[in-house]
Amino acid sequence: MCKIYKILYAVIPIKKWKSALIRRHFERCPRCAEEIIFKDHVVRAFFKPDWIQEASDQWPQIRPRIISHEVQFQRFRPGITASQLRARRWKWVATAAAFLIVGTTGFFILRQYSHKTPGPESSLPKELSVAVPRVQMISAELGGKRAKAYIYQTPTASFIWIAPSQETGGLR
Amino acid sequence: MKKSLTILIFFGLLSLACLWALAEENYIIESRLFRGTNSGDSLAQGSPVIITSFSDTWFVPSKAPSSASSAGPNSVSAMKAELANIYKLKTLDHINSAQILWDGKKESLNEAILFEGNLYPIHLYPKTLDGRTISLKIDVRRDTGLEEGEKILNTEITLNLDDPVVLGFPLSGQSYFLSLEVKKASGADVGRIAIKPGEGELNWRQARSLLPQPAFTVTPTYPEKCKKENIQGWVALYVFTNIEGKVIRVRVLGSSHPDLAKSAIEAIRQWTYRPVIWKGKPIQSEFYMTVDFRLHEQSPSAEGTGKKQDQ
Repeated sequence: MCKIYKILYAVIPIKKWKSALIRRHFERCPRCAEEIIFKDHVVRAFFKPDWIQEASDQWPQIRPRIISHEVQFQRFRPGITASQLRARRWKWVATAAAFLIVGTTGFFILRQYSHKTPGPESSLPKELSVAVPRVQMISAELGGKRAKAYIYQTPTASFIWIAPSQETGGLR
Repeated sequence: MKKSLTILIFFGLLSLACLWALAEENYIIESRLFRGTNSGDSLAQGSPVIITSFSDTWFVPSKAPSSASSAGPNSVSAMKAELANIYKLKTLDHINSAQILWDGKKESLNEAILFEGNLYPIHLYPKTLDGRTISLKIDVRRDTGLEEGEKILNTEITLNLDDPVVLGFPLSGQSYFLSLEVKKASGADVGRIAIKPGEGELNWRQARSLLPQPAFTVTPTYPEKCKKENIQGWVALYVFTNIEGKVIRVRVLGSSHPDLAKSAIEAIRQWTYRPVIWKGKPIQSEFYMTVDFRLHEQSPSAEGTGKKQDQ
């Protein structure tokens, strides 16, 4: 069987896609179509929707196409050998793999670079920066009641003491 | 040619999908809980075994969870010194540390600390505001067996990455301090997770990462051999419960001593939980648990005996 379809069969997770792709290939590829007849286990592994018959029953339909393919093959590509064809297929796989590698590497490099780009506020030391507050209290409740918050900051951390509020003006 | 182009497009789409999946930002939310007093009374009567459960956690099996980042300006000892100095505390205990992995999307992260017979569920609701600022709602309760529990602290803050915030609050005549720091997780950090909740042996659709509350607990007994040899340590477990809330399996992810692990497993296997209800039906759960054994604190008389949480 053609190696590329073996790979596709392993990579594509959805059975319907697999069967559709491989069925199309078998209809066109004389080598695979011949091989399939001798591989009953492959036939059994196929997804079988209502519109497809048993693979072994399809031989009469596939056969004329194979013959016409062979004729076409001989007519239009007389100089290409089977090994050359195989090499061409692998070229495409290699190109796709290269795209993948370049894309992935590029993406991660760009991502890393974008993280390292300093923002306007980061040019200042952390303690001098006023553009970005280190901590903001939005609300505070202690025991289900409004509470007051007292913030004390050191270079290493922000310490917030939350105390019960006797007045109504606590944070919420 | 057409066929090859189709294959190329397929691979292109596949790689885009992979990149999309990999591009997720992960964060580590590191929380630490301290308890202090300025009265000078010793807090050494505390529980020698502190059990913490997590629905989502980053865990380093090679290290004790509570001793993580034991050096540097934001280490436990440095923070203790700073807290004692600022609040003029005479005694200060480090109760627990937790490093929770957050995927940047999940709406709530749950942690529950069991010590001295009380269970304290802590719910964190994080949200990214921009690349460096995180909004965090914090809800600390004491479990009373009722659905809501007793409200202790409910607050909302915004904080920056790598800049810790320590929330102090009074409770039962003592001062508690909850330190929170959000860091960006590296790929290596994420790769070190032993197992993710919901990806264990149970059906992940069934075992949502929701933390069930214990209904019946048994405190692990401090092994005599470890006591004699002055061995303190930790055990990290992964616990599976069925729809009835019974512990059906306990998996050891790591431990500092095999005797401590044995004692922890024996006790946790007897626990029962109030099952998590999802869409009106009880579901199975799986979650992390760490058991810290500490010798410097004395053993309570109830140690090793069953205790009903919902009484």
